[in-house]
Amino acid sequence: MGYEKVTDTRIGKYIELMLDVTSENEARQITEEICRKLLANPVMEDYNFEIVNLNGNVQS
Amino acid sequence: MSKAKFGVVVFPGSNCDHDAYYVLKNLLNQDVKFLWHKDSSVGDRNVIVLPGGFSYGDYLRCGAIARFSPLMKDILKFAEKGGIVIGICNGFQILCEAGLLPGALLRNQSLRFICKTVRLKIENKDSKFTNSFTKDLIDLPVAHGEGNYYCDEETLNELRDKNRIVFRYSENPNGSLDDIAGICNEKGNVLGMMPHPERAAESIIGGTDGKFIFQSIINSLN
Repeated sequence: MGYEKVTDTRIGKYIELMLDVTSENEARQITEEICRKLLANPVMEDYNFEIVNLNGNVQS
Repeated sequence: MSKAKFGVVVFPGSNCDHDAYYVLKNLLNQDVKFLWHKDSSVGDRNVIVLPGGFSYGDYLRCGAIARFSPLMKDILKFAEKGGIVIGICNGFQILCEAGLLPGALLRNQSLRFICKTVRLKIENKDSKFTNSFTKDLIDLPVAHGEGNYYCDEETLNELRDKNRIVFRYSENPNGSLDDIAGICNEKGNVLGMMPHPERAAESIIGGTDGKFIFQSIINSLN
């Protein structure tokens, strides 16, 4: 297609989790645990995550 | 010869559970019960079958959710105590996710679902799952999209050195590492295999090689 500047590509899973927590540290701990136990299989997958503070603006 | 007490686990999405039950009950005349995945105990069963299918719709990864079923906790304990567990196809994937067997099953190299009969080499005829075979090559059907076995090099060396590769494909259909079709744990009481022995246990549906796997389990209990 002529996009010669593309040198690499990957496809993966993108998962959003909403957490009701009071600190970033707590969010990090819980997310890490969920990734390790369920969301990723470390035999064949790597994972990383970002924590975004929604400041309580999101309502369900 | 006393009857073995088989427990065939039913997860939401299992679809080979009745085939396994039929072979064990009707062809081999064993004591068989279905175990619902929400049960808390394997009870008096002395062999557990994790059947093929698509537990939990294969969501997230094949077997990833089934391993959290309440019954799996007791199956882990059962296996630790030396109880015999056989995981077929999706059952193999569940055993890997649960950590009872090493490695993982990746998408087939072709990225396509494969459904055909394949030839297997029995690499270990002393196992609890293969002791009744008199031949080295058998034919069993496979039906999977994720049967491409993968593990790291250290694990592969261990599987080879300790004679834990029970079946290899004669012609690798899915890209599986070292042609692996089935492996067992270190103690030899837990087997995972992608091919379906329960679908090849009477000649009218195309073969009887699969029956000997269940017969071997029965022999090993007597």
